[in-house]
Amino acid sequence: MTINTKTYPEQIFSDDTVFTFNNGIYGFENHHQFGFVNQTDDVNNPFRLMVSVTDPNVSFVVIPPTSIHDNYEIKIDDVELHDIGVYDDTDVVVVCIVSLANDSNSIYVNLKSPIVLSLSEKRGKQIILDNSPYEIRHLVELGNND
Amino acid sequence: MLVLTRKLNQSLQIGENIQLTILEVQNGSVKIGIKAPRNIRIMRQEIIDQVTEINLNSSLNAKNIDLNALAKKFSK
Repeated sequence: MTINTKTYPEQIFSDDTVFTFNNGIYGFENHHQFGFVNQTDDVNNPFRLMVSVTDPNVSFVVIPPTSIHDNYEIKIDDVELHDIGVYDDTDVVVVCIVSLANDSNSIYVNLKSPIVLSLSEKRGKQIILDNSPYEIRHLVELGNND
Repeated sequence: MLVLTRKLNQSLQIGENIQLTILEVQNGSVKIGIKAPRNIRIMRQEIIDQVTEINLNSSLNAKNIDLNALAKKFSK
């Protein structure tokens, strides 16, 4: 399935929606429940905090890839999507994990291993796009986006 | 870890549905053919290790990120 990613549907990303990750994410395989919290007052802010329900000290800043990359289009094997109950490309939301760059006016976004979520089933997983040109550390300069 | 030695063109069967075959051996590299059901994910270990590492770093970073400040910088 080829997916053109989209931004958060407001009603799903209410702070108390919990997604089940049967296999956690890489390095955090024992964390099976994540919520996505808007920690700012701005509803238009694209960043969310992906927080483990099991241990809220485990958290990740995430952003939809379309906020930083116009043409982010990914092919995901249908079998990987069926694994989280996605059978239709309108059911899926993709977000990418953010990490800090040395320069405080830039961030890295992991476009190579996004988090894929099923809206209808409230399930998710992290996938690795091994054959894509996208980078694990895609550098984004802040302030150049509109 | 189970350690076995195979010669060129020999195979191994893993479980009921997975077969590995040594296709080529050259210059310290081995070409391996794998037959497995589509729902079995096969990936190079190094990429998994990279993703694991960056996930770990990102979770440490997250404690130090001020999301309000980040969102402001982003939308300038």
